[in-house]
Amino acid sequence: MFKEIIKRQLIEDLISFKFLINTIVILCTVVLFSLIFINNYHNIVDDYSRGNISNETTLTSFARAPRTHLGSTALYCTMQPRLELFISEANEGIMPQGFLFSLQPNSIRDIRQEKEVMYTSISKRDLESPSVTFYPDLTFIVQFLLSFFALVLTFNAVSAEKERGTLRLVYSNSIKSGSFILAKYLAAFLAVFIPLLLGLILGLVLLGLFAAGASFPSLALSFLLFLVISMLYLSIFILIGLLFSTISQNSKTSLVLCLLFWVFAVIIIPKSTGAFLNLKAFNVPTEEEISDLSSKAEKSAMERFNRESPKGQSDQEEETKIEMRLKMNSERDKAIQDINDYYLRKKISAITAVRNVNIVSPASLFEYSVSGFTMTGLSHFESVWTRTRQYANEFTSFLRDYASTLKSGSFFYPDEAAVSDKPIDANGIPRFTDSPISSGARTRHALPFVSLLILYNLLLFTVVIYRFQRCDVR
Amino acid sequence: MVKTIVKREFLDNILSFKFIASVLVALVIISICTFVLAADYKDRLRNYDKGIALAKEKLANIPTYSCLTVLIYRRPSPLSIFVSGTDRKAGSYVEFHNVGMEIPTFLKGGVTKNEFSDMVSVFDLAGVIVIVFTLLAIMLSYDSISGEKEEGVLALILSNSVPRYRLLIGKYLGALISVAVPLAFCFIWGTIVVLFSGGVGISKELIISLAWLYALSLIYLSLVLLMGTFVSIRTRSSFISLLVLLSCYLVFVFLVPQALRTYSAARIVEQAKNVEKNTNSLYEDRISKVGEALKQLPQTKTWIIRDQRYMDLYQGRAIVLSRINPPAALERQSFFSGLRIRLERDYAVKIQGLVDEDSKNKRRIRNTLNSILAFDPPSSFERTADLAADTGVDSLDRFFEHVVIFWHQYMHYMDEKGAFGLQYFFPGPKELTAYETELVKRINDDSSWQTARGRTVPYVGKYLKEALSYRPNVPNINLDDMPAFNLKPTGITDKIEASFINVLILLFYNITFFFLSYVSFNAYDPRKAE
Amino acid sequence: MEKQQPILKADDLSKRYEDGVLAVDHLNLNIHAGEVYCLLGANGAGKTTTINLFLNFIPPTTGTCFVNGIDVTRDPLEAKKYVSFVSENVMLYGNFTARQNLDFFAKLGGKANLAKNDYYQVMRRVSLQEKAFEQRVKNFSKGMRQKLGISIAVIKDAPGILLDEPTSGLDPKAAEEFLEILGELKKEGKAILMSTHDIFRAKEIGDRVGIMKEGRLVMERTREELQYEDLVKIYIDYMKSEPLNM
Repeated sequence: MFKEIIKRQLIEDLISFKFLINTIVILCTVVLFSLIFINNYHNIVDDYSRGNISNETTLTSFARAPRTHLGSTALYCTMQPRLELFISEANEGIMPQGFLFSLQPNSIRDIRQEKEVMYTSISKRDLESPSVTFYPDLTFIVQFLLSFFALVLTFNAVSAEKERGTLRLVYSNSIKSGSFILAKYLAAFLAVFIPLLLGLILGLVLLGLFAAGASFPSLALSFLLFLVISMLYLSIFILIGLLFSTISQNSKTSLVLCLLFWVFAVIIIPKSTGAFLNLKAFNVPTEEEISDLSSKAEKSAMERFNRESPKGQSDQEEETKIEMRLKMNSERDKAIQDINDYYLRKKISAITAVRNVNIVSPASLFEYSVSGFTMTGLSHFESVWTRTRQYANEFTSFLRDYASTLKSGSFFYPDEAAVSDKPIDANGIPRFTDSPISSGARTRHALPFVSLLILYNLLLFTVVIYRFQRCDVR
Repeated sequence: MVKTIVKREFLDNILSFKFIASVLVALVIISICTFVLAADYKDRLRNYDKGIALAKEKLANIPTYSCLTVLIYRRPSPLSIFVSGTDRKAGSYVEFHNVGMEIPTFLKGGVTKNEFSDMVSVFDLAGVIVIVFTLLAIMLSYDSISGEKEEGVLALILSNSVPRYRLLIGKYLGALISVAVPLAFCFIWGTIVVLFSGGVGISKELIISLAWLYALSLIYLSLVLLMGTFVSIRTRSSFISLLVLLSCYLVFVFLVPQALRTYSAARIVEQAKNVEKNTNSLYEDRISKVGEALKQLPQTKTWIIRDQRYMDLYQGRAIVLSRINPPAALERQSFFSGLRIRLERDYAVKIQGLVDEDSKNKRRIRNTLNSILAFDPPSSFERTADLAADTGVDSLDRFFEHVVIFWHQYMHYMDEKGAFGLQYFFPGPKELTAYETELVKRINDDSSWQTARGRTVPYVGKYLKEALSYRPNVPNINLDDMPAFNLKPTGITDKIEASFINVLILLFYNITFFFLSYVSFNAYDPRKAE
Repeated sequence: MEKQQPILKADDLSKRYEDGVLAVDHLNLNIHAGEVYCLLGANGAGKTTTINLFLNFIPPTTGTCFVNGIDVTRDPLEAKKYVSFVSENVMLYGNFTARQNLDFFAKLGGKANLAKNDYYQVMRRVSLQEKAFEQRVKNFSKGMRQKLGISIAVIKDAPGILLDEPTSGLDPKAAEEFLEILGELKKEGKAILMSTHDIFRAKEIGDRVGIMKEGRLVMERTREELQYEDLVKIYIDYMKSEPLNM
């Protein structure tokens, strides 16, 4: 019985014009996006390696004469490009690419978009200022195209059967009402799953063939996770389509409801929360104001040193003076760094808070889940931040162990007074590497959003079944 | 006859669920986003006014040309409330530094202070038109012919003596009015929200530009209606026609423009890298030349006293000498500054040449992109909207063109004033007063500087305190005759001219689809399928 | 004749809708095997509601419907095994062929494992053209669709058949063919409840005829009784008379 219904529904959904068109569109889009991505990725990897090369040059000159080069040594600690960007770019292209770690003054600052593409640091993506921008990645295909297709498939699932009179005919036999709606759901699920799977396989193959440095197993795992989360997301749209087609008077009303829902959930809500950023709570000072605060901190540290340092010229007092100056510089740098860190953290939490308003929309939930497990975008930036701080400590410890002129045990700070000019082995200097993605981090970032997706699904499922059983068959 | 059909179509549409729902959605979105964008505009305008006042104040108080920093503010456009464009994201002013003498190529400042703010966005009226109104137009037209056929009504209508083309015109006009009325309402509503939030002046230019924007939207939406009607005639059922139109919606509103833009953005970034390389080598050139110039300086040893007040005020960027300085120091400084500035100006012009060429290449890429996208109706409309609001990248182009022109005017003015000579760093008249001469002589005779190292010795001897505490009343530089930066906002005729080709293509689409519909409808079978 | 249990039985059946309309008013029906009962009445008299009540599409306000002795509200799935349904205006699944539609509904009705020829046979029996067997239903005329509808009922082979205005919109020849098939089914022992407007055909095929007015069965006559009475006159008289519920 149930087998019959689902078989018929499958035939109707899979052997149809819309299924064919949709599969073709998805596959063509995947090909198009892969080409664009492979092209762009090339450039991103180029940029990244240029940063590395520049680091090497800096470190080589530094190793030759550390003290002389203290002031001019600044190292790039940037996000390493990952192929997962093809799955979800998560705005990684328009955020600071990483940090600049300089030795003197000892600071870690985020790198603004240094490549000024036009006359201003407009992000590369917004060059032509269209009203809504997206990055062509796989997330876009699922979030937009497949969700649309899911709605097109199910928006008249129940209402058309009512209008055709076949609903009554089917129900004049002994059919459990749940089986009917379940059959519709499963058939639509499969009809959406197939083009997605084909598209992902195609994308994986293209990427593996043409993109440099593709590591197949981990990439395949990411694709698999993406498949699972995508189906969770698309299932929501299937259920919404079934719901609207059940509660609507006729197919036309159901269609309007589905279209408006799609526009709202996929475009309007995710793309208009920038408005909240203007709230007072999220206000951060300008660059000038932050540097003002920093110079105040610097001044007060300077004054304290002038007050407290010994005035004499003896050797003992000279040593104390040096140590005090080192300590003062270190504290001053730390104070300024804390100010900068505080505001950077504030900026990030403002953006995160604003984006969290979006979880009303399943499209945003999907986006955040995916970028959670691909660890691209903001989470990548934050992990690079943590790593940069670790690296700064590693580097300073290295200097203390191999290039310090102070007695062992004294307070160390990379300053002219504490660093020798003797050449050191450049190969021994620690290098910055972007940390690999740990599955713990992946889960931590993606789990809350995935759970919400599952919750939405369960809720909708209950509502659909309840509503369908109550609906009038006549 | 046509009037009856138009009236019926209009009423039919107005009372339908799809119409009411879509218009409500549009109004809600427009209310929120116009409110937010208006507040944002007010912020920017306040910033602008404050910046200009501050700059004017600073200009009144400079002792030497080295303290002169010219700031050129870009006035925010009230039309950015409706078509936000690049206005919000770009900075607000350019700065002419006297150190480096570079012609500025980017805007600083601006109200967005969060470097992650590009991750979130706000809608604007143009966005609502492209996304919501297009959908509405599709929903109104996808079943205009095939739907009526399916209901059997079409055969009934045609059983009267109505020529087919009149029916078509009636349907089209009815749908057009059904779209034009809520659109006008949205525009007016947006304007009311703006008025309500206060602080934004509604000028004549604003109204005219909005009217032009409205006309453009109508041309675009009419195109969507005609295309919908055509598809409705050519497909067997209204459901298929809907599928076709919705797929076109997805492809032409989102897919194609985004893919093309990302691709061209990558091209432009590559360009930028090339220019960066070349400009870097020019900079290095300049630095080495300046280093060589140092060698040409007169070799006499001299002392020098800098006026610390201005050092602090300008954070060490402006060198102002105290009036207590020996002629040797003055000569040396003047020679070096003159040389350096000349070199920097030359290199600035060279670099500007590179930048110009780079801009030309970027413009070429953008023009190719725009020509391709001109055939994609939604993107074509967005471009005309940008041009109508003057908030796109083109207006930035224009601004910087004028900045370059102004830079040359400014340099010419400075040359005429002899600004790069002694006046550059030495306050007041060239002749020293008696007291000043006497103090200079005293310091000259002081041996403390003669034994110190270096050729230009900052004086730290016993007369320093007296020299530093000497604060004569020095007249400030008169800058009243400095050329002003004048950028007239684009007039409506220029805007229309700029978007001429896009509008032409949109009109061409309109005519084509109407003609196709006319021809197909004449051959159309209105009988209901049994 | 042994009085067996009626296949289709309505026992003091009433249905009042949420908006207060009394659609069926204390209806009593007993239809035995091999019997054709024609339900006449104006539009909105309650004929379609009665059929919907038999199929448990709506719950009754009072009273019960029995199909083969089974209470349809208590055990609908079981009850539906014993009844087939032919609707008034069925579009069926347009993209499928006649045979595919028939195959689907046969399986739903519990008749699996039928061969293509079985389907062909049934379709031939209802006088559907051979060439239409493998054609898509969306191109069918109304008469063809009705024939397909009844073939669905025939193939289910259930003891009771419910028909809702099956001949409306059919040309006389098609209607005649339709009634021939009904007659055959009746001879096979099916209990048939048919709601219709068609007075003439009702008189021909019906063993009993009932007139419904505003939900009540106001008149019921057997075929023998109708030989001596003019059904047309009775029907129109009833239609013209005062409304029962003021």
